[in-house]
Amino acid sequence: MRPFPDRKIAIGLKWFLTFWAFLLILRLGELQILKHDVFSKMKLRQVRVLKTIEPRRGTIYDREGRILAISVPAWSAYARRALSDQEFEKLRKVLGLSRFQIKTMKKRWEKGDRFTWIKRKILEEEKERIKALGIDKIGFLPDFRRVYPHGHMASHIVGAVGMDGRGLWGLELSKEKFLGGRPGKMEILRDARGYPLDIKTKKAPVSGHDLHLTLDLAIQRAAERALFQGARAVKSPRAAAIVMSLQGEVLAMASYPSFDPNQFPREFARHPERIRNNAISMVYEPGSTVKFIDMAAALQEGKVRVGERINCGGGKIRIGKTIIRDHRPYYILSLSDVLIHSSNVGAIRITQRLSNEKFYGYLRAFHLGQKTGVELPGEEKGWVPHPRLWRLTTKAYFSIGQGFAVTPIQMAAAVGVIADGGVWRKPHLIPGAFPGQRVISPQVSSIVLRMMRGVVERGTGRLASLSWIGAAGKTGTAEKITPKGRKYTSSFVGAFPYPAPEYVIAVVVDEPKGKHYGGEVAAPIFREIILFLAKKNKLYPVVMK
Amino acid sequence: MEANRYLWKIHKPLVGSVIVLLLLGALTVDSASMLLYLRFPSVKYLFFAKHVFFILLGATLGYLLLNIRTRFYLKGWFVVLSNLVILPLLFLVFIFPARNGAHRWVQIAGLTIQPSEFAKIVVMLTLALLLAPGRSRSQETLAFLYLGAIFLLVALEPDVGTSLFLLAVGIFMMLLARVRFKKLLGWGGGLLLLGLSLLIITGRVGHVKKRLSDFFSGQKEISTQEEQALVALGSGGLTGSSPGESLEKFFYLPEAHSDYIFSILGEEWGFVGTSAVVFLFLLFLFSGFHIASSVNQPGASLLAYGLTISVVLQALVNITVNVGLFPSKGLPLPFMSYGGSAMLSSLLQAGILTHIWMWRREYEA
Repeated sequence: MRPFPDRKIAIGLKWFLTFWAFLLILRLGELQILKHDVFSKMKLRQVRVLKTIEPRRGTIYDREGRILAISVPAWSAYARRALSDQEFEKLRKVLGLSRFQIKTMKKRWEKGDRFTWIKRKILEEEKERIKALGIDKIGFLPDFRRVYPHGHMASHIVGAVGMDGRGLWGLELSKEKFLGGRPGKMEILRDARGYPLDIKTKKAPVSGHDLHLTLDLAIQRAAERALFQGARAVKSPRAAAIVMSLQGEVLAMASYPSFDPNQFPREFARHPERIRNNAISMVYEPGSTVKFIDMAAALQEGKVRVGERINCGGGKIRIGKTIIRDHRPYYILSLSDVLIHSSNVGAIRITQRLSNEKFYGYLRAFHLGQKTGVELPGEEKGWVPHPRLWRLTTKAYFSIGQGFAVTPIQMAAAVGVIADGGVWRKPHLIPGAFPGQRVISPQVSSIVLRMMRGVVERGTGRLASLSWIGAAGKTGTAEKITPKGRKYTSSFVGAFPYPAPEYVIAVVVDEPKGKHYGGEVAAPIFREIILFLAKKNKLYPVVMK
Repeated sequence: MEANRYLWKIHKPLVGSVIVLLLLGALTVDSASMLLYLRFPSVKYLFFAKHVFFILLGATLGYLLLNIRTRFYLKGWFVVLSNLVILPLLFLVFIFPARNGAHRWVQIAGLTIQPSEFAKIVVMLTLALLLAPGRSRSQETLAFLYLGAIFLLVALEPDVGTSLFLLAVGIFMMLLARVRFKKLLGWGGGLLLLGLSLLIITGRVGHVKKRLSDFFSGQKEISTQEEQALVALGSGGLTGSSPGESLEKFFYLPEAHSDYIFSILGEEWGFVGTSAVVFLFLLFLFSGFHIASSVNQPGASLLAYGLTISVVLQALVNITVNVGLFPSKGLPLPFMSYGGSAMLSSLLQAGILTHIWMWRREYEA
């Protein structure tokens, strides 16, 4: 009798199942040993996300250690998955998202993005408010927010950063490498729904360096206040003021209008003209302010003597077919009085004694029409054409500051030559040693400085004077012929205090309405600034008892 | 207390393999379900606790079973009784609401039971009784009809995986019982045709058809469960990341704690762990067949073969699905997957097998 159950079939079944099991072990070997690398990579790709860790950006200080720009710890909110419409409603109440922002986010989710920024660089308090909504699809990553505690003040110098924390303007842009630091890397392990399981730092970020400026925030404040008030009073569309030390350190650089760097993207979109730094980007005709250069050049070349009398021809001079006039007729003026009363005819007479090339050489030596190289983006060159392009009247016009263009910072540096004994120094915001370039002799510079003292004392710049302490300066009013009619650029450049200057100052107000003489528009602004400087340096009037 | 002495007479390789598999399974279920209680802190350790509870319940039932001297489960009254319990349950599933589009569960007094899991045991008991030597023609016919009816009931839930599995185990038992081949083919083929046509008529094979066509067309919709199971296994490497360190369990593999527990085990224990599990099931196979071939009572021997094949076949099918060589079937891994009914069912199968071995002397001629 054959055994029950069937032994043969039992053995057959046993080996069938055993064979199956060994096939499985082979397959497991293939998956887990041979193809291990492939699957490991696949797993990492879906489980691991590499994110950059923002480095802490360097702080920007003024010369007294006051903070101009600082990065504070903040959070960036993101969504792991698409939010529903109700969740958006809740978010909108808290964050005030625009319809456009919501649309953009929804579009990205439809494309299949899982990770979407909701709002970046929010502070702790706002983060708590979002958390209180209880939407667990929203996560937060640490970030930094750039804060400019003084808002508008010095905004053109400090500049601003964009959403990614990179510099977009001012020193933030030009010193990006120095301030920015190097970003780090972190590894986020996440589950299939996008929730982080574990966060590891792969590469620590390197913080940026701190930046110390030559800027003095107190002077900056005074300069901005004076400039803005003055510019608003005459409804000027743009204006600039610069205060520098004799060594070329920029102590204040005000540009009107200004912007709030804390709101940079919005400001840039709505008022691009506010972003422009007029102190280095406004290209204007200097007008009579260049007459101190005429004087310095002629004296240095020995073409005029101190005390010489100049025939001012009754306020008229004819060059070829052109007649150039003074604002009022002068006949015989001393050399100083030509500058003091700003006689066009006198200035033209003086420069007629210089060759075209010599005169041009002095304009170049005073660095007009060249970038000064201050550490800011957007500096303009101006325009001073070469003598081979000159016509018969060109030198005459040049000597009264018409027909070529400069920037305010070029004029400030040029006055610096007179104030500093004949040496041109590079304007700079970051402390450093810069070799000066000799332009004129110390004797000539002190003569010209004395003449410029006269301008403030009894000439066109009387509105710039303080009664108890001296200043030197030169007014300028350039005519602009525009499609809308005749307009002016009023300016004043000078040094303070006299006779031993410590500061050089340039003030430029473009297209003033109503008053337009440099002595009326720009000189009072200069006076406000030196009034502050006098107080700051405790230069009080001496009361005799 | 006499039985306690007998307890040492259990088939040690068989019980040993079961215990090791239970331990590995519990560890892996704990790890794989961790996330579920991370998301629901109020039910911390609920899954692990339930899993352990069912292991303990199964072990207790097994212990009680071993204390009974007779093979009552092969008696006619018990088989009829168990059928009277299980058949209504198999009908009852259709009353309860479908989950994931299938009526597989019955809810009684807060407990969710999957009757088809217990139907496996009842089917094997019934077949062992009907196909024992000295059977009549009508008994054979009854066995065919019975198997076909159960197959249809389960397939209509629809649970095509379990129904095909039941059919396969039944046919293997019939082969072992030397049911005449021609007749078997005739009846078996007829049953298969009838079942399939019924399935197509009722249109309940949509998801199976899709799975099958997906599988055979080789057109992979990547990052499906199947793909993620391979990623989990493959990334485990030779020795795996350490236990509890699985990353695939974090929602990448939706059925991480049940049908795809093997993949998570592969991720955490590596090739060493997975091949160990395969060898443990092989040990179970050899032990089970050793028991079956050394038992005198023909019915008990047939039942022992059936039980062994049932456990090992289910394990092999599950692992084959995990390694991506079969389309997804919905069959859990015996002793390891999370799921109360399946755990109790597989522990009872092992228990009956041990009982057959322990009390074999009582039935010696």
